[in-house]
Amino acid sequence: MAQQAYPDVPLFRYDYTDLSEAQVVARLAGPAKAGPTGKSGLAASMAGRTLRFVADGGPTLSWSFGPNNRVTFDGKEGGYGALDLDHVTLIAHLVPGTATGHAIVWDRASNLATVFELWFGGGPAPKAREVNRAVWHGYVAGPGDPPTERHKPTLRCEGRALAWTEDTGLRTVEYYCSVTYTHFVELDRLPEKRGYSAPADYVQLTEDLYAFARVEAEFSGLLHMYVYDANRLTSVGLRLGFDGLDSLEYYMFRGTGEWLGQNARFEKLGDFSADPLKIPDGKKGERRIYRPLATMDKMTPAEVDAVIAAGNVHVFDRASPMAGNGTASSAALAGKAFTIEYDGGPKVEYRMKGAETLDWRMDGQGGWTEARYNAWEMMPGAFIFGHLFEGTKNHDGHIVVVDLDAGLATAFHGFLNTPFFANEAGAETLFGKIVGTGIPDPGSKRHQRTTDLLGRAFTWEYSPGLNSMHLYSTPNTTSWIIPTPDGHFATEWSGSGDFIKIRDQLYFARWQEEACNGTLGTILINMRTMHDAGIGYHMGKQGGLSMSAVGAPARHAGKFDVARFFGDKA
Amino acid sequence: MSEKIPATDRRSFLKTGALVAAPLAAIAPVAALADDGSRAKLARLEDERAIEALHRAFLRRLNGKGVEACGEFGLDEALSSLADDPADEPRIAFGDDGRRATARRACKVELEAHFTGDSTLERMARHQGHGSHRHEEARVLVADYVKGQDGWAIERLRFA
Repeated sequence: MAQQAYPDVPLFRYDYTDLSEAQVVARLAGPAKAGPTGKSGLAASMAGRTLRFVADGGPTLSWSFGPNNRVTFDGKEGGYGALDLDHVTLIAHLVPGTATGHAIVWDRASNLATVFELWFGGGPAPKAREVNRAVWHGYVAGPGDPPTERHKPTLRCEGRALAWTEDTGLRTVEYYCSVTYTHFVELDRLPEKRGYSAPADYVQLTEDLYAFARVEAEFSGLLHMYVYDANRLTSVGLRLGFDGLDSLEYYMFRGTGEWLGQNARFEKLGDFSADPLKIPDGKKGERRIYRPLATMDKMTPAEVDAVIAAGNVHVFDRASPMAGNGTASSAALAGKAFTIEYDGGPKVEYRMKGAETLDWRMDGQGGWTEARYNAWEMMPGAFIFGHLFEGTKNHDGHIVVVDLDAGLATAFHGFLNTPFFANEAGAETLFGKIVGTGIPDPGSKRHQRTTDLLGRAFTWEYSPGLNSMHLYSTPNTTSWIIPTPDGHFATEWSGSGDFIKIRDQLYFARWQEEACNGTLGTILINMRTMHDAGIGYHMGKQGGLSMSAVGAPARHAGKFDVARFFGDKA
Repeated sequence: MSEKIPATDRRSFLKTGALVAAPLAAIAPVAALADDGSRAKLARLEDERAIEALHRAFLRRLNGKGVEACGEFGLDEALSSLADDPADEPRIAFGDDGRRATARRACKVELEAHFTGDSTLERMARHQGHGSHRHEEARVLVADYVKGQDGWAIERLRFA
């Protein structure tokens, strides 16, 4: 794979270099002496000042700022950058000869300050290229009594979304859909315009001003942070870390924002707690960062084949915690016979022998094969059903939506043996028509991809204690966020998505958990009943190959108008 | 092992405390227990008391030792505790022969789901430190009892 600063493959497919700490220090040496760059120029207002920061339960740190953006910290002189946002100054520097630095958020009006202590290597991040941070709240010592107020972690940002344009010209859609995570779409850097999820800090400075920081854990390891004014929609920020070519990005920026809206939060009314995943006695900088690639099963094709040959195959034969609140399955397809002719794809003949048993035949060839299926009728005449194609090389499965009133069908074709992990589900979307007695011929009409779900978020209550929110963040991204028991949405991840309109207010959606457990998730969403029914297609070492039910009532968390950011893809 | 409470005789019944004595007094004075109807009522009250004692013993075992200690009843493994609804009056219906009974009691059950599966959401929940979830539900516990030589025993438990 060719190395690229910003890959044209999904970030979870890119092979980022595992830089050593020594390599990091070497790459930081020059920039630490020079300080960060800034397209719009940097503030000189710190020259001649000394800041002594006193952290609550943390270090006391001192910086002496000289002319020409020089700063001395811990006896080492280097360069720094500063940018003012009204009465708050953001200051950034690296400590020469080390892999450490700071981003200081200083409110000159109150002397309250928050310091992001930054370092590469030595943990808790598993790789040296990933920026570690510890967030300290405190104050800058002055001549009077110390202030009693403090900056604080906040949930006030949760549910907001903004589109930012840096003075570099780079644009980012930032969905703050969690208290501990964010979901971002770098519109100009990443060719695919996919969304990615990252652990984040949200700090309230004042009613207007907030500090935000994300680290691209699992990918580049870059830190992207800024202070923003929620009313004036302006920001000053810092970007620090290594791109896909291992080049250091170390610059400060000014940004202008566009307010995209506010989704619902689901904490109990009056609950403003903002540290829902606190780690008792955690190490400095430690936080709960979801690293799904490390924990997912990784199987070879031979291992997959062996597990399946041993009979570890489960098609709707066990209770699914993902469907504890699902709708009842339907027997209404029993007795029907039809063929689905997919455009540019197979013709699949079906004889629905019973409520849970069908026969299929592919392209009119060979004999009929019996398969177990389940079906759900989510609107009268519109069904979702799924089954495996036993004996196929890649252990294919189809999850199909048929609209018998319209003669239209769409399938998410799931398969194993992708080039990445044999047990990871790949998927393609097939559009077609249904041919059968009493079923109307739609001619050339087909279901269509839709942007109706783009920017929309639903919560899903699968079973007691097992809930999530979907955010359909781009035309090809589904993000999922899970809440804590008290309703703070927290850990988040995302993968490829596809979204099909079946009827008004009836949508067929999928997500792929690539480099993350490997599941293909599919749901047919009825926005009139606010319920879905769906099917998960999964291969794992213990659970084997499975198709299992998905189903939950929905709450509509909101919708952001973001289609204009995605051009033709939208 | 089934819970068994020996059937009480009239003497031991009359020695019991105020909780049992009060309903007895409301039905018939002790001096009037000589007629056949009163004897039958007393026997029924003794049966009811034995069944209630059996129920309390079951609750102690379930809530003290867990559902695995009540394995003979085949209860939902997620059941972590059960408490009678104090606002509800248990309804006990006896069979014609007086040797079988069915009690219906409104109760609150606490169910605990352990997220041990390999679905992505379960993995994420464990990552967050939320490997299990407890919630309460209002249920009706239906208990079938049978009276043998050793007294009453719980034959079957289920939730309506």
